[in-house]
Amino acid sequence: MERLIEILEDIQPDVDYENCTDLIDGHYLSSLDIISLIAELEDEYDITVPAVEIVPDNFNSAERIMKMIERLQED
Amino acid sequence: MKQALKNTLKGTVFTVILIGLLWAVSAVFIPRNNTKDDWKYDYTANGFLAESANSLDVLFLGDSEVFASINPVRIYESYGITSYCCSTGKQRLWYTLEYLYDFYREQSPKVVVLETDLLLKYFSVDDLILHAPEHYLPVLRYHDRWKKFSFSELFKTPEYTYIDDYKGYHLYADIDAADEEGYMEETDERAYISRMNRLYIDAILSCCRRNGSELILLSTPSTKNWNMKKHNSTQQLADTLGVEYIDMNVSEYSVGIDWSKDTKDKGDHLNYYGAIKVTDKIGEYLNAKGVLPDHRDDKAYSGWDNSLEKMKADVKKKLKTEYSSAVITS
Amino acid sequence: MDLSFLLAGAGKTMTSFFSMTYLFLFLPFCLIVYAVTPKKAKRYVLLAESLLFFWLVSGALVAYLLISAVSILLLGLWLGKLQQKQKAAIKDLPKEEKKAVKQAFLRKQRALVFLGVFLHIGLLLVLKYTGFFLGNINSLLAAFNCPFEMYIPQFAMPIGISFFSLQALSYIIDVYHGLVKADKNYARLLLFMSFFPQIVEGPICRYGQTAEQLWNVGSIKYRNLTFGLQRILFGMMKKIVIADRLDPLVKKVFDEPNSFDGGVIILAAVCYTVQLYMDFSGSMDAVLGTAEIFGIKLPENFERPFFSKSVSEFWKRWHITLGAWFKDYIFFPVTSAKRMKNLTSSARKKLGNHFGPLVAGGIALFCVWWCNGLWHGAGWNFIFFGMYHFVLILSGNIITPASKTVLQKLHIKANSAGYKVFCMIRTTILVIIGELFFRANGIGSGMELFGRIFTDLSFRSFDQYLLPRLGVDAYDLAICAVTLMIVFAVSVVNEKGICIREVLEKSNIVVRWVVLYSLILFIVIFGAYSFGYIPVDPMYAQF
Repeated sequence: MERLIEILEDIQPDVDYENCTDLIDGHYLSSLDIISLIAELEDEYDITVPAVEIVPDNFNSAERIMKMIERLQED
Repeated sequence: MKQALKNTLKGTVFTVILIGLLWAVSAVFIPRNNTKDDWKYDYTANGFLAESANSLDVLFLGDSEVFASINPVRIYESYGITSYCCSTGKQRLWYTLEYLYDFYREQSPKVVVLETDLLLKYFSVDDLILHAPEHYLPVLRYHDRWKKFSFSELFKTPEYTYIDDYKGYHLYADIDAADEEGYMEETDERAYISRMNRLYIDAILSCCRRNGSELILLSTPSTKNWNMKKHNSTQQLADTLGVEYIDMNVSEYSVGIDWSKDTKDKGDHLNYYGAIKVTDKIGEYLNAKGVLPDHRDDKAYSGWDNSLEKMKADVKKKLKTEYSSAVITS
Repeated sequence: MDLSFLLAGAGKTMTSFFSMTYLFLFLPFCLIVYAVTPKKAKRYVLLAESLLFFWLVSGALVAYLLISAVSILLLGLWLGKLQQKQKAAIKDLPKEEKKAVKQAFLRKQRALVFLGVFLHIGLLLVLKYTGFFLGNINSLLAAFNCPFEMYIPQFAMPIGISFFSLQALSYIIDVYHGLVKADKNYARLLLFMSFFPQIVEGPICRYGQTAEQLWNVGSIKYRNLTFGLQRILFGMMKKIVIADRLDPLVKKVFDEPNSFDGGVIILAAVCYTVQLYMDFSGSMDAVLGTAEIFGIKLPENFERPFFSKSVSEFWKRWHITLGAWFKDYIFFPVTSAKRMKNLTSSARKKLGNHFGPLVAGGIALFCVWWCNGLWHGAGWNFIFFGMYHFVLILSGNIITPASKTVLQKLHIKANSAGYKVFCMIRTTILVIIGELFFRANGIGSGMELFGRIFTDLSFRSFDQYLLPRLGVDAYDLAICAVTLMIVFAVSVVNEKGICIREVLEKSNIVVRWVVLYSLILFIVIFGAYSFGYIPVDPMYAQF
């Protein structure tokens, strides 16, 4: 989790990732940010994020992102 | 069920109060006079409001074709018949009917002449729904007068003072020749008069009959707006309605328009010279009816003589020619 | 009495949800018929009314819609069957073989999706862009002095084809991804495609968002009715008081790009952006309000876009459903493609974590904005409009690290109120420039106008003759400003998460009715309608 927040802060600072639950709906992360994030995640956690997974629901908070990562690791 | 009843009642009360409010607000917005500055739209057509009661014997209704081709002052000069053109640009039948109703309030014309161009012109249901309530809630038409709101006129009742010297006629000096190609080419086909238009035509006719006026249909000459198809359907309409129909575009009633000189915009509208021909013909026709009085020696109508002098002066100024009166043969 | 003539020719005006025909004839008629129908049949009444609407506006062209819905029904069912077969086939296979079989099935499914894309985009291309492409070829031929010229056919376009084609495609792709189940019911699919409030100007809905809602419609609730009507009323104020009032000014300046100096052009550009926003978002209020009366919640298309701090954010809050469509069906699929991912990982090694992903992202972004520009219309100015935003958004991302350093050096806090306001103003200016090219009659005219802002920046035209020349007066501009202030105040309240209609609901009836009467009288008195005004078609209905 800490590693994830580090990655997020590297991409877009000035956001309180611990508590923010509307990263997408609140317009904190842009589409290009998402691409950077996915590239990092795929490297870091050895997963593949398919296009279908890229929905606000999966990216709105650090917790949701972590959940998605865990799910993809299981596949 | 009880709740539904309550809601229906609420909705009804809301609507009733709303209509009451619009009615009350309307009193603020109706124009207090008919001058150009009072934003009574189409003020030349509304000049009749300031004429003395029952002083106008003929009413001309129609779109711009009418104010370009019929000159009431000249008819007065020739025969002493008083008339007025309630004609407005792009007039549609819903507006025509309103002018007719307004006119009957203080006038009792013996003849109503309806120009036929607008009989075949489309108007949308939108216009109908938008303009029909304007008659009862004038704020819907005159709402733009908030721009010239003044406290001083708030408690004034409308009083009309603007008399149009041309009696609704517009004088055009320009000449722009028309292309006569295909004008009034023979055909048996008929143009379509929509059912909505027909409904309004019936309303106009019954209003005239109720008030004891004769309705006459008139097609003024125009290469752009008139053709044989329209003539055929209008002729058929006139026959069904049992009214007289004069089409100056066909040889029977031709007034000898010279399309190289008598039009101001390539056959769309007539200019001063064309208007003279149409006016003299229609004057002769109206006079032949034998029911329209000659007011020329009546002191009460001396305003018309002043208007005539003014028009003569304007013609001289604008057209650089001397005004020539009609030659009356009979 | 036979009143059918009232509907004959009504379609001409009905594309506007603020037309009298729609508000006082069509909508009440629909609501009454809907209300008296038994619950189980309501969905079919809604469908019939939607088709009636389409037929009134576009006549026989309703066939396009019917056929389009048939095509996605068949493709969807076929995809569903393949997915079932796939499941059955891999059930008992060992893990290694599973993958190969899965791949084979995926290839087949993908072929079907491509068929769907080919059909819908193909049709859209032919109907909407033939003239543009052949026109360009003709000018190219003329440039090389070729003696022949291609014949340019004219097609009649059904209303809303740009919108419902995208809905059709999203359905097929969603079925392919397994996000929604293939629908066996033609009526339900057709209703999803044709629901009448959204057919003219969107919002572009997904099957998962509206299909079930529309199919399970219930009775009209009093609360929904009042909420819906209130929203329509608010939209009406935006459209009739502001947008329509500014129309003559905008039209005059954009039609005569050579006649005015820079100052007037800036005024017109600002007015156009205001007009477009008020027209489009006002129409959306009418659309969502109408849907709300039926108890349907459509996705929002606007989220106070002028509070955006960057152009990229702006496009997430302006015409949201279009942006989201491009993002979900072009941007992320392109960046998620295998080759793109390889590109990203190799670029990250060379360019670093920030710039690396921008290579693939840039390519995807280019595709999105090329499509976005063309979607709005067949014209070079629309393509330019798209490319303009592509450059702005990409460069915005490229300079992010640099601007962070600059901010730090200047000791400006990125989340301070002052800096946020600065960002909002900057974004608004960039958007206004983009919309200037969007509105211009062709790219040359747009360049002329934009150039004049710099080469001829003066205010010498601002004398007493200017406003009459532009077809407006000082009162018009004043009332627009006042009304904009009202809209702005409402936006601020909304931005704080307060719903005014809910507040009104809780307040007592006198307050509530006074507010509503005031709004209605405001529109009646200050609206630009009836005498002296020409009705203005809704701006997004032409796209």
